[in-house]
Amino acid sequence: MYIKIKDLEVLVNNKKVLNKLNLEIKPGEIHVIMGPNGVGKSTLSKVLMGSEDYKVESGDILVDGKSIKDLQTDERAKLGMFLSFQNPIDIEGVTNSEFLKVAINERREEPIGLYDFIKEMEQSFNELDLKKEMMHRSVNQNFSGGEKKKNEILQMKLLKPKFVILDELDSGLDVDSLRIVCDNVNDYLRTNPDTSVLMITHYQRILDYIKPDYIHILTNGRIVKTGDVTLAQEIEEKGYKSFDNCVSLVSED
Amino acid sequence: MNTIHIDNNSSLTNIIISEDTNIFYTSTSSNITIEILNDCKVFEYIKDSNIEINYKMKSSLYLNRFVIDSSVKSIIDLDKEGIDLKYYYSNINILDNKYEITVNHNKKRTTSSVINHGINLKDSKLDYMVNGKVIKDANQVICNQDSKIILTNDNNCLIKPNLIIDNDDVIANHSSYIGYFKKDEIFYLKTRGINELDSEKLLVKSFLIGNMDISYEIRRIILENINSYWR
Repeated sequence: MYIKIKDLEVLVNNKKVLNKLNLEIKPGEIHVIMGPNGVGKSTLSKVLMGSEDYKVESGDILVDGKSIKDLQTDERAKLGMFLSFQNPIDIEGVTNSEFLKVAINERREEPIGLYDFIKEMEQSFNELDLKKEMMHRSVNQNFSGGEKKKNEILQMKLLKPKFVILDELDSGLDVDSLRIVCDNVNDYLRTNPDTSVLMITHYQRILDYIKPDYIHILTNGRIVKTGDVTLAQEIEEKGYKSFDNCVSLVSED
Repeated sequence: MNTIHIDNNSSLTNIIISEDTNIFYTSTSSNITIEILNDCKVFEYIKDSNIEINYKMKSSLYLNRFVIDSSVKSIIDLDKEGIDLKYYYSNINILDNKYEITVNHNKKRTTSSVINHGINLKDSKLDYMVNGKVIKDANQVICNQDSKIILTNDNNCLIKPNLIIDNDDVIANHSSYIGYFKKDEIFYLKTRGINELDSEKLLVKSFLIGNMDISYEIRRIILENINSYWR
C-alpha cells in the first residue's frame, strides 16, 4: 500500500499539532518516526486512522493515489490500514474471539467457518506465546502490558492489513516479549512483502529487531530530518534537542 | 431445570425454589414472593410488565434478570448466616419505567454483589433506586452495588444508590454511571473494520449479557431480543 501525506495540518483544542507534515511510504517500506514526547507522533497515527478527536485543518492523506480524508475509521481499516495502539484499551464483556470474528467477517462475502477461524486463532496464539484461554477473555481485560501488545499483533496477523502503524510497540515489553512480537511482525512482512509500515518509537532498541528503511525525526509537528538507521544512533548520542535547529522539510509539489 | 411462565392470567403468588429455575414474566402486574431453599441459579425474563418480586433467601442465590420495558420492584432478604447473593440485572428500556431493588442483610457474614446495567432507548425516563441495608446485628457483611445506564439520546435518567449500614464491621461499595458508550471503545472497534452500528451492537451485547452466567438457550433468547430492539 502506498501512503502519501501531503502538507497535513491538524488541530487539537485549536492548537496546531501537525504542521504541514509530509511523508511518503511506498509498498514494502518500513519508516520510523522518532521524536520527543508530545510532538505529535501518536496524533499522526490516530489521524491516519480517522479519529474524530482531531481536526484536519488542511492537507491530505492519499492511499494508493486516492484521498481518504472523507473515509470513516472502519472504512480505512477495511481498505487495509491497521493501527497497533500504544495503550490498547480494555473492552469489558467483549471476548477476543467474538470481536475478531466480527472484524474478519466485515472483510468477507461469506462468514468465516468456525473450524478455519479457530485453527487460525490457535496458530497465532502459539506463535505469539499467548495462553489459549485468552481467546475467551474480554479484550485486553486483566492482560499484562506485554500481553496487550501481543494481542495487537495477533489482530494484525488475523486481519492481514497492507499498511501497519506500530505506535510504540516496544513500550512496556520485556526483552523476550519484544523479540517474540518483532519476530511475528517480521514473519508477517516476509509473507506479505508489499505491506508498508510506519513505526513510532522513542528508542533504538526495537530497530535492532525490525530494520527500517528510513528514520524521520518529528518535532513541532513536522519532519525535520530524514536518514537511515544511523540517524537513530545519532539521536541516542546527541538527544533530540540537537535537531531543534533543523530546517523543516516541505512538500516538493 | 424448572421453567415457570407467568402472565396476566396467572394467579401464582408464592414460589418455593430448591434447584435451578427459569421464570418468564410477560405482560403481568403480579406480586410474587419466592423462597430459596438450596443454593441455586435463577434466570428471570420480564417483558412489558409492572411487577413486584420479593425473595426470601435461606440459601445462596445467583440471580440473572433480563428486563424489557418493565417497571420492577424487588426486595431480597438474606435470612441465613453466611449466604451469598450474586445479582445481575440487564434492562432494555423504551417507555418511562422505574426499577427499585432493596437487598436486606438480615444475618451475619452475608455478601451481596448487585450489578445493574440498563440501556435507555428513545426519549423516555428510566429511574433506578438501588438500596443495600445492613441491620445492627449483621456484622462481617459485604454489600456492593454497581449501576450503569447507557443513553442513546439525551434521555432523562436517574440512579439513586443508597447504603443504609447499621453495623461497624461491614464492607460496602457503590458506583453509578449514566452516559454513553465510551468513544475510545467504539474507535478501537472501528480501527478493526467494524462499522459504528456493529460496534455498538457488540458493546450492547457485552453490556447486557457479558456478566451473566446463563445457558446457551437463554443467551439465544436474549440475543434475539437485543437484535430486534437495537436500531
